[in-house]
Amino acid sequence: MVLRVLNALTYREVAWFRRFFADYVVSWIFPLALSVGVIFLPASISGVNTVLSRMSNLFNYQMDLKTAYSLALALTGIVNVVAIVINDVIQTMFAEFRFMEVGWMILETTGLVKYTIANAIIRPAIMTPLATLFLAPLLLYLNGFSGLVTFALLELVFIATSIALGFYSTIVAIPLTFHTKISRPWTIANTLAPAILAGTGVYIPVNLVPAILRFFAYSTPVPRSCEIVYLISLRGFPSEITLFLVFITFLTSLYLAVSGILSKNADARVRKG
Amino acid sequence: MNLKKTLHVIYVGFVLSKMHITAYVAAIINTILWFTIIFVPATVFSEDPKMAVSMFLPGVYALTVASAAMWTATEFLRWNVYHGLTDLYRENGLTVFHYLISYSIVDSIFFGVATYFASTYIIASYTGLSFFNALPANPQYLLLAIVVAIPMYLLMGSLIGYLMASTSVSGAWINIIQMIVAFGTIVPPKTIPSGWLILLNPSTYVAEILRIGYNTNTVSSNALVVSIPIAIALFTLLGYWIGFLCDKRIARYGLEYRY
Repeated sequence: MVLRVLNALTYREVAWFRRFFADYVVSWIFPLALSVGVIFLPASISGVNTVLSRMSNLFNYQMDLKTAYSLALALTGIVNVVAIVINDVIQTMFAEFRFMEVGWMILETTGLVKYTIANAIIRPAIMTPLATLFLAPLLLYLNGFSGLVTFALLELVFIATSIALGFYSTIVAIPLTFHTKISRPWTIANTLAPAILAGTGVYIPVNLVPAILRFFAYSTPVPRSCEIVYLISLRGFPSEITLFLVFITFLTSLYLAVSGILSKNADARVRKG
Repeated sequence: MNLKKTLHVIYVGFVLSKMHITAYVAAIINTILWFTIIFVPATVFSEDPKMAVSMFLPGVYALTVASAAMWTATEFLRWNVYHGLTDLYRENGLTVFHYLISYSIVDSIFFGVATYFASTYIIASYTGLSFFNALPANPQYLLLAIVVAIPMYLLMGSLIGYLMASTSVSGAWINIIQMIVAFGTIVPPKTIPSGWLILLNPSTYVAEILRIGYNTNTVSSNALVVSIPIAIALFTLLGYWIGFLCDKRIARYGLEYRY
């Protein structure tokens, strides 16, 4: 049964990739513009050397332009993962149960718990490599073979983060879909992703971000993911990666438990009518 | 198009905006947060944060208004088609230009200025500047920028309307066009090798007028101020003409629903 749910969701992802190809192209170009902007916009005012010196001070690592841009690119991967996973997991669940009226088909075939678990894993696990694929040729061009190794390690961090965020988004999506009468869920999904990113700082250390914005970020693994992305980009294979994987496994289990309870309650509520 | 009809569509725009007030609030928060993600690093990495703020903030206003225009045209010629609303408007003799007029005041004055002030507050809090220090030293240029932003809104929206009517591109491509429009607004003209070429982007004109208030304009302030009446007339007439062409094309070839 679980295999059939996984199959169905994988089929849906492939079909959607073809249908929404333009959105994927946007998701490759937009972050590229961000990564160029964070370095070259200030450089247009203060010069490249000043920007590199300030970045080196902030990250406590002497950077040349290639390192700084590689770091900006790697961090851009996090922007993509958060924006895509948060938006899509919330909006897909809402759309399938509230707009497209396919919810009853899902509930006839399987339970809501299995569906939400599969949705939280499959969507992020497929979309993350598709949305961050553009980093591979760029990192290869900038850093040669070691750029590809960096990409492989980054991809591991991105996928682990995206699955944790898949469950996190499910926790937000279930009350929105089954317990409220909200008609514009995208206003919440569209705001949550940049709130997490702005709270993390992404391109600047999180301690520079005002406390009020950090609130959203600290409810997710994103600040830790950014830290590990800094370390991978600047140091190659940091020992902290093991600790990060333990941390993200713990957080994913916690989100899974909460989303499981919420899904079970929602399943009973929907079946009761 | 007479004054009564213009005022009526503006009234309709106010009523529609009131219905979508939560979407506007969410859009303001969303825009500020996205700007924060890119502007805070751009400001923190600069040697002179005050100069960075003065350079980028005018672009925030111009790009916000231009983006609102582009998404309004996309809404009219893409999403509303599915619900039959585009046909309903056209059956009543209203084109994309009228639809843009209906939202132009709310988007340029309320949405654009609210986003600009909120972005100013956020950037000021990061850089340690006071809110008032991050505002233009000569606030009259903010008023002039708003006056020019309305016809710019009509022109930018009509251009996107024509693109939507004559091609089958999806709404997602507007994100790419927004990035192009960022050159000259967020990215100041002085950083582009041929700064004058950037004036081909109508929203640059609005950003440059606001930059006079900060004393960071690339184009001469005299030239900008003197050409304001010409720009207003030109943007409005071009917008009207392109909107008319757009409607003619829809009448001839129809409009297929696309996401």
